[in-house]
Amino acid sequence: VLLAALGVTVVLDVVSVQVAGHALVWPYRALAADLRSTSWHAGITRLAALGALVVGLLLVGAGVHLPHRSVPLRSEPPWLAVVTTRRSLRRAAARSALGVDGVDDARVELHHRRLEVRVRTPLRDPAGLGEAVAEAVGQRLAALGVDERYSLRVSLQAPFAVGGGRGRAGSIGPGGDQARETRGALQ
Amino acid sequence: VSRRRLPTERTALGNRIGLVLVGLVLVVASSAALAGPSGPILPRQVGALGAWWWAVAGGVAVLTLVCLRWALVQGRRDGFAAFAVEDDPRRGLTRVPTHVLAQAVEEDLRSIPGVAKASAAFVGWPSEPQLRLSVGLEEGADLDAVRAEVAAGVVGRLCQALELEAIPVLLGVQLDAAHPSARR
Repeated sequence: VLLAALGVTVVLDVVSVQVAGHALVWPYRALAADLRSTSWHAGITRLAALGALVVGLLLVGAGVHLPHRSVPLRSEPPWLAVVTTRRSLRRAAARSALGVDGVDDARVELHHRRLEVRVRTPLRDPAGLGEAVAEAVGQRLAALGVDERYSLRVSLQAPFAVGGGRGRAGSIGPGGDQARETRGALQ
Repeated sequence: VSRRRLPTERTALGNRIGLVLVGLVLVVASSAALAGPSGPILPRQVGALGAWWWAVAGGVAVLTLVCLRWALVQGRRDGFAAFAVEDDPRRGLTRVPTHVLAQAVEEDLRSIPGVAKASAAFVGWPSEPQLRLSVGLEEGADLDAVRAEVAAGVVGRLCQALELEAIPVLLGVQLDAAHPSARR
């Protein structure tokens, strides 16, 4: 709207100058004098060009950047599409992780199609806890019908564990019964 | 779901294209200015009068119209006012407002066990309607059961009432939106 308003004033002034010899809106003689006395190499010109370059790059970035898509869930019949938000899926996964005995904090991040679950436990011997969390969250995702291309990775923080405790505890496909592997042993 | 783009989707696409084009123009122009010719910004031989100023005015006028059009399309909405249940003038016209239907669908959704909150809206065109549903589920709600009841119950009854064979439905689900006791 601002650009359109600016355009209207410019057209008005161009026509007015050509027909009547004077502008209606802008002091074009003063503006023209300023532009004639200012060089392309002047500091103010370069500063303005730099500003325009930054704004231009930001606009291109905003236009190219794809918004986060919603997460598709199992959908039947074909005319029904079921989706949830990425935030909602993260919260549901975190609740599932918190439901596992021994977990006192769970944080979930969703990177494209990879769910990363970070859990913390006060247990001194957290062996098997990461796998249990992966199992619980995987079952929840499977029950929701999350697309099989989504993967799950669980990492465990166990500050009171004997011998220290931070490690990647488990990785599992969203179906619960898909390829499962332990990526790192707890220390 | 229909492949035809909804008005707001067309607006969003247009906005992205517009942003990229304006951004590219700024990048190219500012780069040219920085790479810079020497001398004043406005050459001294350029006067205030001349036939080419009319071309400038024409160009600016076109840009102004494009900007106005861009601003106006931001008001596009996806919905439509009513379904024509009976559209034969010889037998009488019967139209059902979509907001009334949407309220009925919302009530129907809220009666499903596990659904804490619900909203519904019709989008598209009378000849090509789509239904957008949004439900907030209670903790522990069975999504498969909700999904089945939406498909067979809620949408089935709607299609029966409107004499439609099927209607594309987008069901947005908010998981664990409420404790079971908070159900309305």
